Parts: sequence; structure tokens; C-alpha cells
Amino acid sequence: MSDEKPEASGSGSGTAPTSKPAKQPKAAKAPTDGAGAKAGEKSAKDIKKEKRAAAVAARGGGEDPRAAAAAAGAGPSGSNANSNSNANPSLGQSTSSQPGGAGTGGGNNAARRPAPLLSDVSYILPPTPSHSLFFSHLPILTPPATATAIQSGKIHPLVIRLGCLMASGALRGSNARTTGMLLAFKEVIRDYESPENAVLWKDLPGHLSPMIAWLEGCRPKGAGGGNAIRWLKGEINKLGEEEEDRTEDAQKQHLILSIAYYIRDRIEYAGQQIAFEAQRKIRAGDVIMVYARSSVVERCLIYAWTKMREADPEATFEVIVVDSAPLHEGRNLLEALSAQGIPTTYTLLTSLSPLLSRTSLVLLGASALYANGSLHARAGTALVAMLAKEYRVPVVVAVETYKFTGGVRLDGLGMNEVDVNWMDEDRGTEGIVKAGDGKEGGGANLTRLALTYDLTPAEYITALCTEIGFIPPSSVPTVTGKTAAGA
Amino acid sequence: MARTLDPSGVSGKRPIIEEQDFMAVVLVGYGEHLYPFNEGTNVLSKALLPIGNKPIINIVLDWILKSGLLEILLIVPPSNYSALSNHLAENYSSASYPRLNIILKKFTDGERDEDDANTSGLGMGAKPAETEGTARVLKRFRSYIKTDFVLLPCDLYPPAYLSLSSILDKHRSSPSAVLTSVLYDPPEVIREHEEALLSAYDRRSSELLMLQNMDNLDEDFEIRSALLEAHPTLSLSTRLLDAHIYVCRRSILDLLASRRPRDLDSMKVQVIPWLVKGSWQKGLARQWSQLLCPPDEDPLLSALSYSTTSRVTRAPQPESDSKSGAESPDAFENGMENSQTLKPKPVPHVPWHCQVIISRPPVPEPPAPKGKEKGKPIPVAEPEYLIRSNTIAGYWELNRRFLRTLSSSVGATPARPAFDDPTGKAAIHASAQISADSLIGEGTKIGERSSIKKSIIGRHCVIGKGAKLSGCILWDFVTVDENAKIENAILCTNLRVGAGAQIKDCEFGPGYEVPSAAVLKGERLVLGQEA
Repeated sequence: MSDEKPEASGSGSGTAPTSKPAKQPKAAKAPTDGAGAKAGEKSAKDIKKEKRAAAVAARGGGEDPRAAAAAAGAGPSGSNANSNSNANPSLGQSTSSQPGGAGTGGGNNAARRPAPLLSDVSYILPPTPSHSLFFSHLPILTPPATATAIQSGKIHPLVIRLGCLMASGALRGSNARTTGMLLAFKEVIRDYESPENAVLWKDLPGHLSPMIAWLEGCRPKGAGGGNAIRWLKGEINKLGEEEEDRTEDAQKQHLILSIAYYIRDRIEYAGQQIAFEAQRKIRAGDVIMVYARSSVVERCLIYAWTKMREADPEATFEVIVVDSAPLHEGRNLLEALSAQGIPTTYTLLTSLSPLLSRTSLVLLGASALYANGSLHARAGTALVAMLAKEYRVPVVVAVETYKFTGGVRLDGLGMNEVDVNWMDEDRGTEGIVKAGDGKEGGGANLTRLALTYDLTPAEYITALCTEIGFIPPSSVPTVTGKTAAGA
Repeated sequence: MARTLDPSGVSGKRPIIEEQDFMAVVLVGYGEHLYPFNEGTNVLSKALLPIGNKPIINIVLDWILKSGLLEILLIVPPSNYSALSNHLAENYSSASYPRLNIILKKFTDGERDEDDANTSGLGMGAKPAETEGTARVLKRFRSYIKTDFVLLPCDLYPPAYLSLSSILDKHRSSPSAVLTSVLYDPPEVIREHEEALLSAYDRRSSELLMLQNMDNLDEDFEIRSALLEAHPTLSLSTRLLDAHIYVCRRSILDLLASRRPRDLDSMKVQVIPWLVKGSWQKGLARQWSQLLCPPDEDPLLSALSYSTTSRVTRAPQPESDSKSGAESPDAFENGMENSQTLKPKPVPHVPWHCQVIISRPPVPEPPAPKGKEKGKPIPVAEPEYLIRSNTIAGYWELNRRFLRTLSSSVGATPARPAFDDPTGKAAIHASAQISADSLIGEGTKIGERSSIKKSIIGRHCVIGKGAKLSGCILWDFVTVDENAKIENAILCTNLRVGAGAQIKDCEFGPGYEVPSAAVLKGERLVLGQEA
């Protein structure tokens, strides 16, 4: 790297081979830009080089486009910029790999000149998916590749079906997906036979790993699912530490029973207990606001209603269901509550303010709860919680403890999912999609973007309603500490 | 279940998971609409009809294999059994497809139910086998079908954008779908020859609501108000045809078994419309739901009850605080301390419906204009349709499409014609003119001064001197004597065209002999017939 400077400064001498030094500044610039302290030094060098290059370019003129094109070819925009960049019409399309190879004596100067700054080349967004500008680190929901999964012979058919259900949205919600996953693994363990010379507790995690990875590709697990898988692996490990020697069938039976107990205790029974706790805070005449649809919140409301009606057939409370595009899960909740006879109002996020003034309690569901007390839930929850705080309405989150996790998130973008196909089913947006480019999906000019989750900071949550009672959001680490110790 | 060890050895000796969640069932018929192909000597099975010298059953089997399915049940008429068995042994041997399991069965195998015993007792003889409907055949083989299955015809040529995977995934993603079928938009030439079908479906929920043959309809057409109440936004169409691709739940066979076989003979004509009708009629739906959705069958049922997209079907239960009636039945789960006494729950009505996928070819993108090129007409790609070769029109269309792809792939430059001939034994005279968009099979001899345009010629044919063929499809072992002129004809196997004959727009069955100097236009003849 140190021989760059003398060669660049000695621009008159055309004897030195041109390809190497020209490549080095490009290589130094493009991939190592984010590499760390070393890149810092290099970019300082590069800035100096740029200044010199600009000065030379002011003199050199004609050779520049070739170097610019060559640099653009290797720049972060990649080949897309190459084909799309209108700053370099004909030159340099194919010369990215041979920067100064075809150069004459004058070309040596151009080749040795380092790559221009990005501002010289117009930054063209790659055609699709354009969301990669901000959300390239997030998984996009794509239809699962079932054919390869079957052909690999490593995925149980029930797991394939589960993956399809999760990816299509038929199975949505943290409780539903975690229960589904555990039930599927129950069947997998039931059908499992360990190969010869292998012990079940050593081999079974390897048997399950490809399936877990495939399910992650269909839909990311989330905190609850991750906790469940970790618990299952722990259970399998515990089999290895046992004293008595059980037969494989007995071990499998033990695992199947453990999974059933986990579902019963931490999801089913927890939901029941939460409903019991929450019901004590709901009085006749209350107006409760809920957002989208959560299985445990629905359970709380129906239980509270039936208990209240038992005690006093005239007593009533009202529910406001707030909903949002694209999923419109609140519609199904509206149906469910109306079937029970609960007076329900349905509205969208846009009508939140006027309704909050007459709300007495906001009851939210959760996908995960982080160690700093922040809530990871359906996109739009944060809006409801923040506005409720403005109106001094208590916000209670109904959440089972298996969704508590030790991680910390400070914003909603760290872990999220991007839904790019949501306009396909939404009839109201057909016109927009067609107008985009006349093509299906709107073509290259239209980006459809919907984030699935968002983050509500702890200060907007009044209390968490869990199966161990009402706890403040700050005590999540205490609970996770307890469960990790082996409750 | 026998476990094969993973030959790739990646994971040590971990056995491959052999269970599949679907099985493919391919039914081969007699080809009633394919006269004259189905009469004569050495009749070729409907499944082995060549499209571009490749039997159509290969296309169906490859399509199935691409979706990952490995269990295929192939049910054929007894006369075709040996031909298909040989074909499968050659092309789909266990050496090349180690995990594939194709079960080949004749119609007449399989269990006999009581109705068969009755008819055979009456001495009705050979007829029942011929006219037996697909549903009855399916019922006979239900012991071979242990999982959910997809019923396919042998004559389907699926387009590139429709994969069996996507159809199966659509079925997998809907927990309450009992049937998933495919309706397709056919090209004009096919629609004229097929009976029109009236289909009603709900576009938003992809539910299939009604299938009715237009010929049986009177002047007026009535729609029940119950249907309109349940699906106010249904769509009606007479353009679409049934592709005979049915992804079925195994319990449909149980439902069929409980019904009289006489009423439910053919899957396409009787069973599917009947099943579809039952899905929205409340009484029937409830009644059949016992058989179609047996409790405890779906291990994911309790998970689905937690889903935010699940619809409500339960009646309000006054006392219990359980999620839904379909709890996991494991006994220990009921022993919860804080719960109220759980009354024995009435069996809930589990909803079920029939789904449909409408297959329409995507409008092909017009090729980007290349700026200053003048005078070169840019070929507009035509949309690729789903086509079945169960009629002559379909067969023609498939072959013509094959020829078009040949010509477009070869391009404007005149090149050697495509040769289907790995051994190079075709002896072609130098003075023969063969256009670039023709396909010549192996072992074919082509005489001098003959001219072949846009034709598909099978194996071991002999084309005499001066013969002119244009737009023809010749199967194997066809002999064309000198100076014959053939235009737009299909000549089946073992056929001979006499010298100087002029044939236009004809189809001749296997073994036919065209006398010399005959002039035939627009005929369909089989062996022994006079023009």
C-alpha cells in the first residue's frame, strides 16, 4: 500500500504497471469502508488522493470518465449502478475489471487516479426490492421453498405444513406459532428413531436443527419461540444427565409429556391465570381499548364478561377495538367479541384521540418483552400506548412469562419483519398498484413496505399482567433470572 | 417404515425422513375423445402420446418430481399395463431416482366393493370396466392411499409459471381446505372444442362455490340465496375449464365410501361439484364435517385456535373459559386446579371449504425496444397456457406450441433442424430440405429431394423421395412413399402412406394404410376404414 503515494505523485512516469496500483485504491475504498479503525486511516489517505485526483482531473479531462466508470463498477452500488448510471453511457461498462489495462501512456494517469467519491456517480437505487435502502438487515417474508425441503429428507412433513401455515399468515400470533411449533416437534419426536450407535439425547438436537432453521426461514421465531426451543434443547440435554438408564421409547415419551406440560403450564394455564388477574381490574361501566388481536387479551375480555354477567346480568362494559392495515386482525376480534354479546366499537388508528378521552383502560398484547421493559408487539401498539399516556389512561400489557427475554432493544428496527406483498390482498389499493407501472405489483417504481412489529418503551407501560400477578415492566430481568435458574 | 440411510453422508448415518404429506395419484383413461388415436393395431396408451417425441406422461411425472413428491400411484387400463411398465422401467428406474416409488396398477386391481360384486354377478361382463368412473376406481384403491393426495390426469401439460409446489402449498396453508382444485383459462382453439363449464368462486377467499356443466343448464340459472348471503361477492365465469388437478384430504375417500357408488361415478363430473355444493350448504356442511374433519386428526388444531386470523365458529359458552371446543384431548391437560368444572363439550362444527386456484397466463412483457433497430419485427411472446391433450385439438395445440418454441429458439438464422437422435443413425439424404423448426427422431431415413417443414417425425420412419411434409406429426414407424404430399396431418404408428398420395388436415389411426394416389382432405380414419 505504501508504494501508492510515490507512484501517484510521479504521474509523469508511465513505466510502472498500471493495473495494480489502480486496483488498490479501489479495493481500499470500497469493501473496507466500514471495516473499522484501519479504514479510518485509509479514508484519510483516500481523501488526500481524491483532492489530488480532482486537481489532476481538472487538467486531465478525457481520461477521467474511464476511471470514473471503472470505479463505479466496483463501488457499493454494484453492477446495478453500472447499468443504470447515466453519467457514463458507453464507456467503462466492461472495464471494471481491467481498470487501466487498455490504457496508453496517458491512460496510466487515469488508471492510477483513485476512485471518485460517490457524489460523482448518481446513486441509483437497485430496482427491487427497494426497501433495502433502510431495511436490508431485516428478513423479508417470502413463500417457503417446500420442494427443496421435502427433497432434502431432513424436514418432517408436519413441519413443512407448519412452515406453510406460518408463512401464509393462517397461523399468526406468538402463542399460536409457539404452540404450533411445539406440537409439531412433539410429532417429530414421536416419529423419531435414533440411528445405530447414536444416543437419543446427543442425536435428537441434530435431527431437529434443520427443521428449526427451515421454520426460521418461513417466519422468524421471536422471543417466545426462541425460549421454547431453548427449553426443549435443555430438556433433551437433561436426559443425558440422568442416572437411570431409560429405554429410548421411555425417553421419547418423557419428552412428549414435557412438551405437553410446557404448553399447558406456560401458555394455556398462564393465559387462564392472566384472565383471572385482569378480570379483577375490570369494573362495570369501563371502556377498554384493545389493539389488533391478541389471543390472551381476547381471553381476558371474554372471561371478564362472563364473570360479570354471572354476578349481575345487567352489568356491562364496552370494548373499543383499534385496528390497522395491512393485517386488519381486529376484524376477527370484533367478530369474536360480538358473538359473546360484548358491546364493541371498531375503529382504525386514525380515530384514536377522540376515543381515548373516554377510555378507562388500555389492554395490549405482546410478542416479546425485553429486559429493559420495552414491549415488542404488532406495529401500531406504540402509538396506542404513547397516546394513552398523554390522556392518562393506564396501559396494561397481558403477557405470559415465556415471552420474557434477556435481550435489550432500543428501537423497533433492530429486530423486525418486512412485508412486501401486502397490497396484493388489499382491495382498496388495487388502483395504486396498477398505476405504479401498469404491471402486477406496481413494477420497479413502487415499493410496498409494511413493518410487522414495533417497540413500546417501558415508560409508556403502567403494568404487566402475567401469570405471576401484576408486575412493573422493570422487573422483567428478575423474572427471566428466575426462570433461567430452572423453574 | 423402511429407512434409507442418507447416501450423501453429510450427517453421519442419519436416516432420511421418508414420510411424505402428499401422494400423487395419476389416472390414465382410455382416451375417449382421442379418436382415431385409440383404435387400430398396437394402440398407444393415452399417457404415452408424444409431444415433440416425448410422451406426455413424462411431463406429468417430471412436474410431480419437481415438487418433491416421491410417492406416485399410477392407475392404468389393463391393456396399457405392460407398455407403461416398460416405459417406467426405462425412464424412471430406481437407479436414476433412488427414492422414487411409483406404484403401477391396473383398473381391475384393488378391492372390490359391494356394488362391483352386484354388477359382475348380473353377468354384465366387460362393459363396467370401460365405463367405470374415476371415483369408483379411486375408491377401490383407497388402501394404497394413506395420506392426503393430489389427483392428476395423465395428459396435462402445465405451464412454466404453475408449479405443483405452489398448488400444494396453497392447500397446506389453509387449515380448513378439504379440496384445492385448479381452474384454467384455455386458449381460444381449445375452448371451442370443450364443453363450457359454469364456475362460481369467491375471489377474495379463493373458495370454490359451484361447478356446473353448461349443457345441463336450462334457460334460467338459479342461485340459492343462502349462497349469496354467505358469499355476496362471488364471481361467475364460463371461460374457465377444470384442469382435473385435485388436492384432496384423505377423508374425502371416507366420505365417498359412505355414499352409494352409482351416484358418484366420475370425479370431475359428479363428485367434485357435489362436494363443492356441500361446502356452503349449512346442513350438508355440518353433516359431512363429521367425516371430513374427524376430531383429533389435526395435531395443530389447538395452535390454530390461538391464531389471530382464526374465525369464530363456536357458540358462546357460558361457564368455561377455554379457548375453543377443540382442545387438545390429552387427559392430563384437563386436570387444572383453577379451572371450573369442564362440562362435556358438544362436538363443535369444524368448518371446511373447497379452494380454487385460477390459472391465467401472465401477460408477457413486450420486449424493450432496442432503440434504432429498424425493420426487425420484434416477436411478441405469446402467453403460455395450460393445455390438456385429452382432445385432438389439445394435442394439436401442444405440438404446435412445441414447434413454435423450436423455431423461436433457433432464431432467424437457418440452422440444422433439431435432432432427437443420440445415436446419429438417422440417414438423411443430402438433397432433402428440412426446415429448422422440425424435429426428426432417431433412426429415421429421409429420401432425396424431400421437403420437411414444421413437422415432428418420430423414430424409425421412412420418408420416400420427393415427399413433401408440412405441419405434420408423425409417430414412430411411419412409412411415407415417394412423392406423397402431406399437410397438417397426424399419422400414428405403423402407418403407411402410398406413393403420390395427397393428404390435408387429416388424422389417421395406428396401422392405417393410405392407398397410393389417394386424395384425402379433412378425414379421420382408422385401420380398415374407407375414406
